[in-house]
Amino acid sequence: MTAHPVNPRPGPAHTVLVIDDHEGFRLRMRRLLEREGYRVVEGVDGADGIRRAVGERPDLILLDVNLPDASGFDVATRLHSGGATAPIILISTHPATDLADSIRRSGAAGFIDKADLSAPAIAAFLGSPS
Amino acid sequence: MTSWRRLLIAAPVVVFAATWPLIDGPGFRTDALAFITDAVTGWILVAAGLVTWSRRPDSRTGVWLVAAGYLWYVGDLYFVLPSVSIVPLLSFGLRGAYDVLLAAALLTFPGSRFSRRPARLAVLGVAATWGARAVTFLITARPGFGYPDNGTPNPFLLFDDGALAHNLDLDLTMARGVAILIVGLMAAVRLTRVSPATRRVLMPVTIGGVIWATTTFLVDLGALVDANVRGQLLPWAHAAWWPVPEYLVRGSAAPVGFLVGALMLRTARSAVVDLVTGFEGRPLRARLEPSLRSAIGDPGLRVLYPDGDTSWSDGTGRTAGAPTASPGIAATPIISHGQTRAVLLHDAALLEDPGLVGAVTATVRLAIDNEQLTEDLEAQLEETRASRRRIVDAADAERQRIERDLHDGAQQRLVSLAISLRMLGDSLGDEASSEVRDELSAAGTELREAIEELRELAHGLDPAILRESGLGPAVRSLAERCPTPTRVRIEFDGRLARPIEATAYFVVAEALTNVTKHASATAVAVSLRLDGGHLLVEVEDDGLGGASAASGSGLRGLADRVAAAGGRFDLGSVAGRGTRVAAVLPIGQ
Repeated sequence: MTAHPVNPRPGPAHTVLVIDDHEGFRLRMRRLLEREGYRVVEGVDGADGIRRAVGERPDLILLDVNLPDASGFDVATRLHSGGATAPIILISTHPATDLADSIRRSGAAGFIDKADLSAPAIAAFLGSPS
Repeated sequence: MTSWRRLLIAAPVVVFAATWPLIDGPGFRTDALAFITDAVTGWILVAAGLVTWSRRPDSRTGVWLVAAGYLWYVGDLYFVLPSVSIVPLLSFGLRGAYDVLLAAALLTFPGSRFSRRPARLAVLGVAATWGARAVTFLITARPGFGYPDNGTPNPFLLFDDGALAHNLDLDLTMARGVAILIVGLMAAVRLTRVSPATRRVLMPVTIGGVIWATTTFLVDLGALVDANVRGQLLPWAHAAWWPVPEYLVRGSAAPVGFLVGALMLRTARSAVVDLVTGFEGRPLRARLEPSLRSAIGDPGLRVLYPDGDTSWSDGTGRTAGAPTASPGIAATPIISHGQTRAVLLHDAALLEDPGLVGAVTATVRLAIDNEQLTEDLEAQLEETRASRRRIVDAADAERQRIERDLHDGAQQRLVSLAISLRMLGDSLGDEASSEVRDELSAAGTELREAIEELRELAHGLDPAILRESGLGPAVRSLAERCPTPTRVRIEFDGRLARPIEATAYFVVAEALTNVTKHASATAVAVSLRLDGGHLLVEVEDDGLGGASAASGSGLRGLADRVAAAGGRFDLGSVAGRGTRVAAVLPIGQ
């Protein structure tokens, strides 16, 4: 389910919302993505992530499966039902094979193993910069 | 029947058979039919006594009846030994001794206590009149007058006055007849005062006793009145056949009544058997009262149970007054381990049979103790089951906590570290030496392997696929990981309770691990299906077999885990014929 990069250098207009309760991980993602020219906004849990998704209108959402207040699958479902149009990429340290059913049901655009997270992997879901 | 009781019952028959050829002497009762009737009457008394003795070992009535049976034959000694010394004197003088014991038995049967003082006095009256007549006879009777003369003088003769002796004998015999009639009347009155169960048994005894008392009185009265008058009153009394009906009616009525009554007596053993049969099924409290009523024949019997210190309730749980004895009603407590567990309110007449009451109360005590023990055991078993469930639940919760800690802690940090390393490598680009790049690459590889190992560890503790997708996908995932070709058949959809899914998952996981490690199998079949409220889990391979739950902690632990979930674990493993691991788990509501 990990995508191949199609656009390794997306434009600076792209905003990525990272929803994860682990501060150290969010910091790494901010550095990784900002270095690639993305604008990064953070959500510390499911509720905060939904608020940020509404307020910041991100182009891509990286959503951790294990959040303290809800599962990432539920948050993805709520984001979709709330009208979010940005692609949602679920991320986890669990392998995709363990979560395949839940990923499919959540309506997420894809899944990236956290250990495989990289700028090209993310860019693959964004397409060409507008 | 013990050997000496057999001897007692056989003795009259043997003696009769042995003495039959001798009975040909002079006398007014040499008629064979009369003699046989006489012999059988005594034998019936002995038999009735032995039956009573057997069924009421605590009662003296049986002994009295046996003794009465043998004393019956005192009057017959003359026929057997007519020419021996003073035998005829004693035979005629002491005859009728059995009446005393018969009277006592009639007013006490089947117990051995006189329920009322007048009853005791009436029996004493019979004894006194018999004794007075016997003594009077011995000191006044002259050979040839009152008893047959065999040439032996009466050594006790004090008053050699034939007329006086005759008149005294008639008067005292009449007095004894009156005393016996009083006993008969008291027996009839007693019949109206006993419990229905006792009345049933006493009925034949009382009928026989009343006939005995009435005919004795009438015969004695007939002897007292003038012979001419008697002849007018009972013209057939002089007939040769008269002794037969006289002895049949007067002599046999009471013994036959006693024998019938004794045979109707319930043994304590049969009552206990009825009682225990009535205890079948539960709850015991609801069945105890009707069972007891039936077993001991007291339709008014009640069983009350203490509720706390002061209140009482019956078998249906309704509140009842404190059980107290009242006229005609006895209160028998059932005490176990120093505590009153129940009180029986029953007909006081039952106390006449302490053996029965003792056996019944002991049985009830055993039943109540047994039920209490069963309840305690079931409570302990349930507590043990609950405790096992709690242990397994706690272990599962701990596994989940550790998995979560690994996931949220170490795994996240390692993943972040991996991202940092990758960013560092990208930042250095071509400026870094090949040594640095190699070291970074090696560190990245190590880190990735560490992440993978940690992921496997976390997966083994609490597989995310089981949590997220359920048992079916989790088991299929296990099968895909298994190096041995594994066929999975799952015959249900949907989720089950998490403890059941977890137990079933670990059964399959452990079984597949064993297949991989030990079985050298070429194929494995995993089956999950629902059947009548149970989940059936089966893992079967075609490997070496010979596995044993005792030889490894894995299978033993599985068996414990399945048992804790209320299920059954089965291991079939014959050397050379593969292994089949099966678990049946209740899926609950």
